[in-house]
Amino acid sequence: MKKIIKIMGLLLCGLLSLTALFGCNQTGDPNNNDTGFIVLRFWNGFTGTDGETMDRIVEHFNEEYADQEIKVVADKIPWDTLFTKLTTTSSNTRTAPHIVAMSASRIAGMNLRKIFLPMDDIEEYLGVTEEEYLEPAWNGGILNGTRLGFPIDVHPTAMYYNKNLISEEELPTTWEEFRTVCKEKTKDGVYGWACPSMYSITKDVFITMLYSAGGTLFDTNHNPIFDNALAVSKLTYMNDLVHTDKISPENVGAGGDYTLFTQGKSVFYFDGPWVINTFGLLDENNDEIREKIGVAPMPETTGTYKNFAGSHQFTLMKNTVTSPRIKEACYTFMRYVNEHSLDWAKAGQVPALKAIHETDEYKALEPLQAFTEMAKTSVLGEIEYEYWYEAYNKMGVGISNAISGLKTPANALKDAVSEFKGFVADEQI
Amino acid sequence: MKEKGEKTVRAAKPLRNHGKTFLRTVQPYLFVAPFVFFFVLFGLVPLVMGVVISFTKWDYASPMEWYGLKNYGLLFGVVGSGQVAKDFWNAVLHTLLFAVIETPLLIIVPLGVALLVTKCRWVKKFSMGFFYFPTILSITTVCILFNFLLDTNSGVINHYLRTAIPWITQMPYAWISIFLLSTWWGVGGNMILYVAGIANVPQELLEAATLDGANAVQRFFHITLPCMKRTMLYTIIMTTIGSFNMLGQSQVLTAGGPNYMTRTAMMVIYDTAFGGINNFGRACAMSIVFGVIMFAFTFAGYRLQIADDKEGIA
Repeated sequence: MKKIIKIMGLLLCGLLSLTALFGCNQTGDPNNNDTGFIVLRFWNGFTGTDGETMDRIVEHFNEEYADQEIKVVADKIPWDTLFTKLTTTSSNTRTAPHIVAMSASRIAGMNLRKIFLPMDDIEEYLGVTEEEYLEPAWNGGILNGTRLGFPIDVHPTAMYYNKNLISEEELPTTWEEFRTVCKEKTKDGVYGWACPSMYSITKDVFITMLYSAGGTLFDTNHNPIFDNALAVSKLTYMNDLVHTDKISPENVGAGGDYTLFTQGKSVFYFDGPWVINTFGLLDENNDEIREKIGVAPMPETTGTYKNFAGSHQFTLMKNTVTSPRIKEACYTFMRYVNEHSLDWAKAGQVPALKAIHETDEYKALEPLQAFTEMAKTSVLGEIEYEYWYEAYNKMGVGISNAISGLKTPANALKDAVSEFKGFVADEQI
Repeated sequence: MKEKGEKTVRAAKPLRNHGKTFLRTVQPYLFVAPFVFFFVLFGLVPLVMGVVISFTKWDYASPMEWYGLKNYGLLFGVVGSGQVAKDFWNAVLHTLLFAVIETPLLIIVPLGVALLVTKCRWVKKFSMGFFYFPTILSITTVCILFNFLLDTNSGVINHYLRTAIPWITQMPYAWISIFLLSTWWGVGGNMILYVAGIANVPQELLEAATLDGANAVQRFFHITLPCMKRTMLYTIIMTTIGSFNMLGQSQVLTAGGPNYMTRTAMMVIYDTAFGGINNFGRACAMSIVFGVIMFAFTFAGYRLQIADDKEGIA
């Protein structure tokens, strides 16, 4: 019995000690020492080819900067989980990251939690200027005059096409041409485009149409206006493609557009540059796929037209980047990634640093050129507004409701705006 | 020396007795201590903290802000635009719909499967694994699998049925798909419990009933089923709780759509806490209100079963 009691006692003591150890507020970052290795935790949500590429860049950086005593530990976390983890761990200096890559559209929302370290001195430190970067990416990191993000890339949505079903000369450059071409090509079980009715790329196509026609989601006072006549006309156009012109099958689920395109049952497919690697378009040993699939800018998105794009940015966390030495190490890493973004391009991204676009090796990445052309005239949306991301998602539900035939385009957008206004009103109580 | 030794003996005796008494008193507490420790740490403390946080506005990173009853006011539509109340109660209704249909399915279907598996010995080995296999898969895997099967235009099911049923994108098919998926996924877990329950039914009772001329149906309803009441009670409670906690199916298969019509309470709570805006206070208030609803339903089921038991004994 004594033995049992002893064991139980020891067990309890052990558990209590463990709890105490885990529970105590962990402070005191070893990086704060004046000398010795600086270990930077870098969180990102890059999975697939871009994740592997970022890991390689980090590995090379660690090799090259070992003598300067900087080491980066990259942690790949799915985007949704990343934001949750970031929120819950940002105050723990031992586990919170130093650098986080995130979409520019999430910076304003995350800034409500006051977790970012401003980087207003980065231009001076790195000796870089605005002219060297793509404008949307450069401005995407600035919030109310303060730089919270430093650009990595821009990723617009372009138009993939099946070369067996359409020639390069036939490619549409306006949305009216797109409708005509799709109507011509829709026959024998093949559709012009499989327009997804679930919350997906459809909202990016819609928002691109809206921006290229001069529209916006908000007025200058951040009142949502994505139910105005222009927005309704654009959604009506998309709705007609599915329900009147029938160039798309109805009820295409998330991923259904990709499946139909790869099966050769649709001429066009819209998606971001990362799909280039999913298709294998940059695979040097796969000429067959390049003969089958091409990439072109979405109609009305280049030249004088605007188009909607996303942009990945580096951000620094104020609770972990607590000394000039750590900050300089972070800046050094960010510059390294920028300078080595040819590798990043091969992962299916358009680097923000324009000099990369001028290299022969980049120009040889033929499928990326359509995206690069679009990136020059991209807009990231009214992302300085902290609720932009929520508006974008509510708008997505509205678009889905219209494409699914559940509501008319006007009602779908009106309801989406009303829901968003309700959301904002409840947030501000 | 002798005196010293005597003193020692006399002093030690009552101490040892006292120690034994103390040990007898403390021993049961030591046995339950590990459970109490973990229950307090992972059950009671989070519950109390949840209640406290529900009266605050907190995004985890910023300092907690006292919010009074505003979170509850928003949930009941007393304050605010009514959007939060609409979203939450619609989601609760969807959850109730799911629980009311899926719970009986996950009670009855596994019972039928368990009987089949137990009675037909030649298929026992094969079918046990066959029916249990989906249970070991994660909900994400199952949803991705069903997405391929049920896609309107390129799914396997529509291909073989030669139809274009919008299984995932339109109502009521989206719910039908969720029920199909949940039943396929959940049958195995309850089946195993029933198989164990059936194995514990006293054989002499069944043999006596057979000798008295009872047929298979009569033996099932009058012997097998009453003998399995405890197993049934456990599966009813656990399945009800599981149904109320449904999240993955709506999140991955239908993304809450079409038009939020498959969005469940857990999904709204999760989005409120971990979506774009981390409103932990409001999410806690939602959890507490939903927890009360869940408790009421589970308790009602428990009471009904107990009442049934008492009637049976009487």
